[in-house]
Amino acid sequence: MLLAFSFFAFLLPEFQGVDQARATLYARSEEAVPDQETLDAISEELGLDDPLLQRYGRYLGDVVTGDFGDSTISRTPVAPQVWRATVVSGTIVGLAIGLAVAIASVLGVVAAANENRWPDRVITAFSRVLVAVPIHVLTPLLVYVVALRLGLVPTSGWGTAKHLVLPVTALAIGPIALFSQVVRSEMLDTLEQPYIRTALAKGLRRRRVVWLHATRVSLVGVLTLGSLFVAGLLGGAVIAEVILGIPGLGRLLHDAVKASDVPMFQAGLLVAVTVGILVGLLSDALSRLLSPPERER
Amino acid sequence: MQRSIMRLLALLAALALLAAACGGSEGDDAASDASDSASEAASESASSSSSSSESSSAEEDDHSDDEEHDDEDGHDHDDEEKDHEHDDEDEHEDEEHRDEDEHSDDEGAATAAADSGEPSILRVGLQFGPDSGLAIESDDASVLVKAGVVEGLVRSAASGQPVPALAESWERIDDITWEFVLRSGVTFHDGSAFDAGAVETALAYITNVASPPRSLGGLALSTEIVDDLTVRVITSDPDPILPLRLSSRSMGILAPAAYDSTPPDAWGTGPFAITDFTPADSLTVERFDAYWGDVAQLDGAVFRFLPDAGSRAAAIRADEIDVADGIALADLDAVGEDPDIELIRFSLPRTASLYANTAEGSLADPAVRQAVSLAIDQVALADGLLEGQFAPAFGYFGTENAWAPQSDPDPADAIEQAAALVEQIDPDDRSIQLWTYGSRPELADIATVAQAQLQAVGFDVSLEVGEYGPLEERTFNNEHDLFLLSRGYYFDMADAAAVFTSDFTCEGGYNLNRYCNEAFDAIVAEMSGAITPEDRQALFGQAAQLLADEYVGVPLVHDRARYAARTDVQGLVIDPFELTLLTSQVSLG
Repeated sequence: MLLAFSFFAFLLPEFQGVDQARATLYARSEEAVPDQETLDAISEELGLDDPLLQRYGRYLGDVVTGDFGDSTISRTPVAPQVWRATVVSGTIVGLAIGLAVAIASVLGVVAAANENRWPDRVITAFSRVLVAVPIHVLTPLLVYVVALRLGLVPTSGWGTAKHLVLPVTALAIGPIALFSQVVRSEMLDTLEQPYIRTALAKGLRRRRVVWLHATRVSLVGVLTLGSLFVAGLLGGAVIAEVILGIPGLGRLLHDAVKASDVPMFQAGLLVAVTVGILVGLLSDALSRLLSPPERER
Repeated sequence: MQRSIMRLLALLAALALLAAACGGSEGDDAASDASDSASEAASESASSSSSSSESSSAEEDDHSDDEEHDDEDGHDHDDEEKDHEHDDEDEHEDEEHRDEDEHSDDEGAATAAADSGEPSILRVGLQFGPDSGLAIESDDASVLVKAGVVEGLVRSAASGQPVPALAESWERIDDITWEFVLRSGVTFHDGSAFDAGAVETALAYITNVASPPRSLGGLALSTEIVDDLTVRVITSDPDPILPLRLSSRSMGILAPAAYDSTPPDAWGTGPFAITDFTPADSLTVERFDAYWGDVAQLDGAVFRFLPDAGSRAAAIRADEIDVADGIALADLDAVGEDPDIELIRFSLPRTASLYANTAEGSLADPAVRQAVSLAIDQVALADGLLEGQFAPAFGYFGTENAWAPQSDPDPADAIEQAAALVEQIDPDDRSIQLWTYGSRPELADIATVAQAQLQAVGFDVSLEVGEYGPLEERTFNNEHDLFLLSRGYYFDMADAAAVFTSDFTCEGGYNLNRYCNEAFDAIVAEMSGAITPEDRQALFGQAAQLLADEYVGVPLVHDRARYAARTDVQGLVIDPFELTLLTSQVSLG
């Protein structure tokens, strides 16, 4: 899968019909006048004169030895920049998903345990509203209220615990709304399962059954969903990262695509995909631990 | 369900009231905080900080320290509804936050100022950060010059004329040779001495690098060292404006050892030296005590790269930065109403124009281009659509150039004349494609209004908003009718020859109008032999007039720079070419 993604990333500028030499010149000097001599020199510098497959083979060979190459724009090694951006985005996304799973689990269980009563209705109504608010609306709203009016945290930037508050909140709110509905639905299904009914029939208290047994099973669904969100948010948090001035992976990928910085884009995409696969495997393992039916199967 | 909706609405209303209450209390506090001292600080800053509206802002002599700016007129100090966003209490809280906050030490220092003995650090929010590894030949040089890190042999005065910097004087020896006498006692940030050898290394790099800077314009430079402090620069072709060319950002001189790295390390000679750089995040500089001129008043500065306009506006309102560039039209009111913030606005050498396909299609006919030109109302675009934040363009070059058209050439009955001309055009030729791109947000709006203005006189206009790259390629393939784009005309130096050559000559590398006229090319050819400013300006005027007479495209509006600075920033100088920002004279009051 990684190989397929790397090839896709490599071919992307070709698909777009982008002249890489010209795009590189413009990225280095906006509105430069592209004379042929300059374009030829850039093509030579980037090795663009070689056939596509030869370039891809050379790239793969380097990657296998741990060399992700240099950015075509800054001519500096890609790996440390992608690593730094991944740590930034990984921190934000990890906290956001963790927060979302924790809050959504509580909300989902409370909603299910109070089906069709007022707590359920309030949680469901909020979820439906918040899941519909796009992040490019939510983030500036949070900046205005939490940072500018209340002055609780900085409006933008990166480097301290306070800088985490806005991006983590902005990224967590959508998943909280979605996950809480998933947990609620799973919980209602689980409560109908024979082994739960058996547990209740054996005289176990309903509160204990709900919070200890059913919740554990219901978390399986939200963990799977959360693992899918991690990969998406890791590279896709570009809007929050741009608005909040955060040097994360989403912004790095966005800038790399804009400037046709192929090595940077490839490395960023490979990291996002790799993390996505690893998180998926971890979530599978956790699901097996949490779910008695899965273990029995 | 109805009950739950009611509960939800009640909760939302409670949240809104909470936010309003917080805002209201700030406003109330601020009202009582409108002290005399704050007013004095604001007025003092208004007289000393950089502010130029409309006109060029500095009067120059040949020394970098003697620049004065006119007062800024765009900020209404009499507005009764000024909203103090930050009262004393807020500032006190902010300082407490900074104490707790390791990263904010620098930020806190800015407002703490010298009284407390803490370092004075200017905090700047920039729209565009360096993305080429601080390479001197790239646009990153803009940040290096703004940060006071790099200097060239020559610098450009606000008038656009070359004045001494690292070179004390120069003289043209012959058509291709210029002799520069260098300043003595100059030290690079790596501790090495500035001399003729350093100039030789720097110019050799800039000439031979794969993507040379725009300002070289295809010219090759070589050097001949006369003695330690005298160097001759030899150009591959006669160049009457070499000193001006050497004043561009990318012609900064770095320490010879800097060129051992790729891209070169940014070890310049400026009043500030780089201590930290994180791409897509920030650049930190500190005072360079061995600077050859006046040593900086500030201890240092932090440049944060905030691509989102709303973020920059929010950051300066929250006192997280002291200076911000690129304030969006949507944020102007909120930022301008803050009494602790001053707006700095001035015309930029940039024009949004309709580039017409003069080679193929209906616009190859000058009568069709004339009808288009008459139908477009630049004043309505600038003053109506763009709320006066752009200036109407009567030519590709702005009215700050005495040789450029100074008033609207369209007659009073331009619309009627345009409609009459369209009546005479073959109906098939009335269908026009209008292209633009989305990366400059104002362009799509301008295109929509231009489309309406053209349709009002009888053209059938289809609008396409796409990506710049593919549209440019299609334009070079003569597939366009009208391509609306924004283009800087003095990117690197205040001389029009470069843009006349690249954009309008038959062989021009950026000839989007696909215009080719031997008479025009002859005028441009004469520019390479014109030495005095008067001779050059006479030729520029002729070239501009010919383009207007032949309706080669339709210039629409000139952009304006919109900076914001907190009023405690003193001595800030932002020239009309946006070259300078952080200088030795900047301080925090």
